[in-house]
Amino acid sequence: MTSGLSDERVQELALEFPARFNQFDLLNCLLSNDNTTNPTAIALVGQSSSGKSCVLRRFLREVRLSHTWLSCDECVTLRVLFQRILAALRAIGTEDPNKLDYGISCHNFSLFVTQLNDTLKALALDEAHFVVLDRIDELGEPYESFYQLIINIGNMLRYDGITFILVSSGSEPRSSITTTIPHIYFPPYNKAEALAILRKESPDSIRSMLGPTERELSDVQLTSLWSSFTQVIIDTYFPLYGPDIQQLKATVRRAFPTYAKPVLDGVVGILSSNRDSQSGFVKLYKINQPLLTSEELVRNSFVSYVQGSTVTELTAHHDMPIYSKYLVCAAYLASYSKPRFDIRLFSRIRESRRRVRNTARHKFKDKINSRNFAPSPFEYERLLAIFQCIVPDKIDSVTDIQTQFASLVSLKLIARVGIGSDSSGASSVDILESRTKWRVNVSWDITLQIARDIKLQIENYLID
Amino acid sequence: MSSLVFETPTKRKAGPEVISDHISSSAFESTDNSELISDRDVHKTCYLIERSGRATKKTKRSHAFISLDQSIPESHAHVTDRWTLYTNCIANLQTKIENLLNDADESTLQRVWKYVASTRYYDDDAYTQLPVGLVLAGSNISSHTRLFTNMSQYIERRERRKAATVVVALRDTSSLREVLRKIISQLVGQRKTDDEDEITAPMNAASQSDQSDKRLSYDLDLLVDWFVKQESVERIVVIIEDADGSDSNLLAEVIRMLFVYRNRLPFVLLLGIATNLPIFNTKIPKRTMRMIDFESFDILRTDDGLTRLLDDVLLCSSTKLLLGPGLFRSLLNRYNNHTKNLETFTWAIQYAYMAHFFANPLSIILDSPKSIETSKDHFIALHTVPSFKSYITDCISKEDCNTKRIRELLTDSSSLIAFFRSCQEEFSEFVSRQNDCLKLLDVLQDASSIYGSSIGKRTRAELYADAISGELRDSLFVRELVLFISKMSAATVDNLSRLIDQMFDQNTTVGKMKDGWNIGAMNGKANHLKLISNISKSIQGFLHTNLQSYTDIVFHELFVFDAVLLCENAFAPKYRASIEKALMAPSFYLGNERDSAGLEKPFLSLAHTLYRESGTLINVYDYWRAFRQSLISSDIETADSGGSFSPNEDEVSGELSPSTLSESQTVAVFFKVINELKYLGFVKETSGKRSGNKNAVAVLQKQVWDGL
Repeated sequence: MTSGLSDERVQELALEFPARFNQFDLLNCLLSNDNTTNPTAIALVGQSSSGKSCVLRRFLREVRLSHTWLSCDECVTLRVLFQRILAALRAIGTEDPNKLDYGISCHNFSLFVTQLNDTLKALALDEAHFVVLDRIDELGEPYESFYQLIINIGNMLRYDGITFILVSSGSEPRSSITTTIPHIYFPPYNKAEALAILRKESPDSIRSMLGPTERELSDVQLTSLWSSFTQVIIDTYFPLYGPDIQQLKATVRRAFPTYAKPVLDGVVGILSSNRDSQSGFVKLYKINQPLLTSEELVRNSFVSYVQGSTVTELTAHHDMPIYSKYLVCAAYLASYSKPRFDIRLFSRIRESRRRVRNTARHKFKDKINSRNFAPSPFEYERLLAIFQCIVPDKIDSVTDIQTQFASLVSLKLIARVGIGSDSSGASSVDILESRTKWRVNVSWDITLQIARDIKLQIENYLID
Repeated sequence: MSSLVFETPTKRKAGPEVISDHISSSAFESTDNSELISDRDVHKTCYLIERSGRATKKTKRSHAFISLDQSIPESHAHVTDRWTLYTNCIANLQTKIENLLNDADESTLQRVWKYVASTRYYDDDAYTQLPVGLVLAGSNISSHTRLFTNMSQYIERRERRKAATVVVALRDTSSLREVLRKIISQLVGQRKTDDEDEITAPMNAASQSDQSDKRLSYDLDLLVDWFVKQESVERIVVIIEDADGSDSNLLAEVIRMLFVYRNRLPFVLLLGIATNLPIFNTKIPKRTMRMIDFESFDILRTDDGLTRLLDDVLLCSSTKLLLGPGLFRSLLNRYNNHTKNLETFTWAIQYAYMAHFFANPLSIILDSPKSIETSKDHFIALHTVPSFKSYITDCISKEDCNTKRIRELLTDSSSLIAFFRSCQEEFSEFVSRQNDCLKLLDVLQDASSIYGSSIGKRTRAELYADAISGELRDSLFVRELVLFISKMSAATVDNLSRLIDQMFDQNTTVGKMKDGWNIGAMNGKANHLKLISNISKSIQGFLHTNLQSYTDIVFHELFVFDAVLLCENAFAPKYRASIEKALMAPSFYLGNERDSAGLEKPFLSLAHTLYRESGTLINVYDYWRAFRQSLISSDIETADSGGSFSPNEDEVSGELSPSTLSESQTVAVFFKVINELKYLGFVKETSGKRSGNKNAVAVLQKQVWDGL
């Protein structure tokens, strides 16, 4: 009782999804209603947002295969995933499939296999059932061994009828690369395909992006506006985002209302005739040039965005206390300069400065810039000593300095060595020991910025 | 002494962090001994350990002040008066400060709330981003708990049950699971109390033994179920107190998780950031950044806060006590260099008030001079106040001296009181004039081009100390400003007049002065020149007459509190110097007033003396030999100095005294001392192997560097 799609139907489907004919064809070949011919697992691999999930979803809906869709990125641990798989399977065939029964808990692989077998036995499937594990690479825990388990689960199941579909956008775990389960590869889209996908938006959804407007555009006008707009966006952002359709779509959504505003306000007219639309487009493009060239749409940093607005000035008031800045600089220096240079760098005694050894010999040896290394640990006393050297005025060892140091530690600008970065208290070091070691946790750029704030020539204290 | 080191709470943190002042919402909270080491207490400035058990009922006083009999024989009533005066003053002060702090927060809270309310919830749009508010809360972590609790309450109050809020501190959690568990349990638990009947099935499977639901407590599906049942809730606000104090990974994971569920749960995330955005930026992966749509909020421009503090609290009309220039400078330095925390600043002010009323018996006179009418001692004390003395001396040295008046002042109490009253009035006038001057200087700087930029401008707080000590009068700074006035253009004049109108009332001295200029009445170049020379003259005159020094006021010792060292020692003690002093001169702390040469030092102190005399590496055997030797010699010294201290010996050094020690006891004492030094952080054990010697030699390495 196979109910695969006809070739024509596959062709039709492929029209909806540009450049995905092969994938539909393969899915059509591999999956069927028959619970004896299906493989126990297949894998869909390909870069993120290359259409894996939506192609699969469309296909399953089209063929009306019984399936369970599980997003693994919602599961913090494997236990949650196990539980959800079992609960979803147990709900098959009950009166209300949406009402899930979470009466089972599952701790490990073998228990999972056992319970899966029990569930399958109770279900006695006569049609194939598919369990889609979407975004399996985004599971909250390492997923490699689970992946391995699913691939080999056919050997452990005593009942037929269930097929796992693994959808992952990362590279496959190395251990499962040579397995024989079927793979369907989704290649990344090229520029033309990406453009075609962006243009697939229906006029209604374009209209909803604009929100309620005074001036209504006809479908034709909208489509022509949209296609010119998507062309601009692809030309601008494809080099940046590559074939990442999600990103492109998000950008398009953010930019479109602003882009279309001149048209809606009637500043630029869009007419049906070809020549007018050309000149209209050029006018529109010129108006929108600031939008397309600014970083506003490519928000991947808090700072550049903030600098665009007027908030920068405000944040300047939120500075750390002055000595905290000195402490950060001192910590950086303590981490990145070797103790044997301390006298040369920090002592004010002339004697120590005079005998500068010729380091030309070592030049080839230390080719890598030391700033690229991990910071080395230092002792608290050394930090204090360096701190005293770089602050302009003499400071007594008041508790305020320690307080600030502690604040910096809780802000994770300075980290304690030996104590795990998690605060669970698990550590290899005796916390009662009088000696403590620390390391700086700030990059050179930030340190330099801080040093500039307090007008400290931090380069003078570093040997590079 | 060493035991002190251990009684500080060291649950997770050790080293200098222990002495940190992560101040929690209530700065001074008393804790029971047993409760001391709990997680809640780790972030407090101050631990008040109450004596348990034998509470002495003898001291049944209603207040904390004691009679200062050493300077003035005070009656009980006087002490009580002083106490009530102090409590009144401090209550007044505290309400003002609290208003100030709350006002500052209020505006930001409102902005954050508006942001939260403006976020929209799309349940089907795949392209929504997670709305995130970045709350720049300043680097004083201590006040964050209070702030974010306020924020959550504020939002809940304003949204009227349409928003559910959770406050999470990442420092208490180590994994994503814990964070989610906290969020879920707080929300689900919180609402359970509201409408218990609606939720029949227990949500949290971990805590309840219900067979039907075995979902794990960190499964966000639980929250989805809960949310579906809620009718009123439209937003779930998750506040993370210490976003940058956490592991960057953890925060990114939390954001990802909330992002994944964004279409089913209307999350709004608020992140508390203690550093600034560039630093925070480095901690968030770019990938995470794509998931969020953010807006940043600045909690409080602290420098503005200082100006307001000056206006509302220090220089307001009802001020009875002024902070002296030295004290204010030291506080301002501490503020800029160390804390950047308005709250600590206000604590220092409160402390200054307390110290003044606690230690100065004459302070009762500030309330009303009548309170000392009957006390002769107070009058004698008033006569000894230095400024009064010099006033009398000045009067006498004048040629036309009014001997009758002087005699009256010295003998008649009522005329002295009248004189004091006039001084007090002079003082309050002084305060208001200083306030005017500072404001005027502010305005002038704003109007001028040299100081107008934010870099060159000297704020009122910076000028305060110079102003009240009279150093600003005829200073270069003021001269430059006056010079600027005499050169300003017509546009600047208009600007200046506008700024003055903003800052001052019409009825104030400055307002009247400005009216006198008749700006805009005449046109033309000659008139303009006349006008600005007029303005510059009047402003110069105003500043010259009003920028007086507080020392010109008689009895200023009673109105101005300027004990710099006292406050510095209270708020920023020099711990290292104190420890070393205690070890070097133990008699100072052990409280023996008599000749300390005869006093026997504790063993630790002896060992410390030897420690100071040695090099970086100390051979343990040598150390022991020297220690034993010094024990014997100190024993001889004690014997030489006569038996007068023998009864004290045992008290000072415990049960053991050098004269009774056997050899093995000496070794035991030595081990104890070495361990104590180790725990004090002075030494550490190293094996001598490093120096190439194969037979390990027990060596101690010095840990404390000199002069830090």
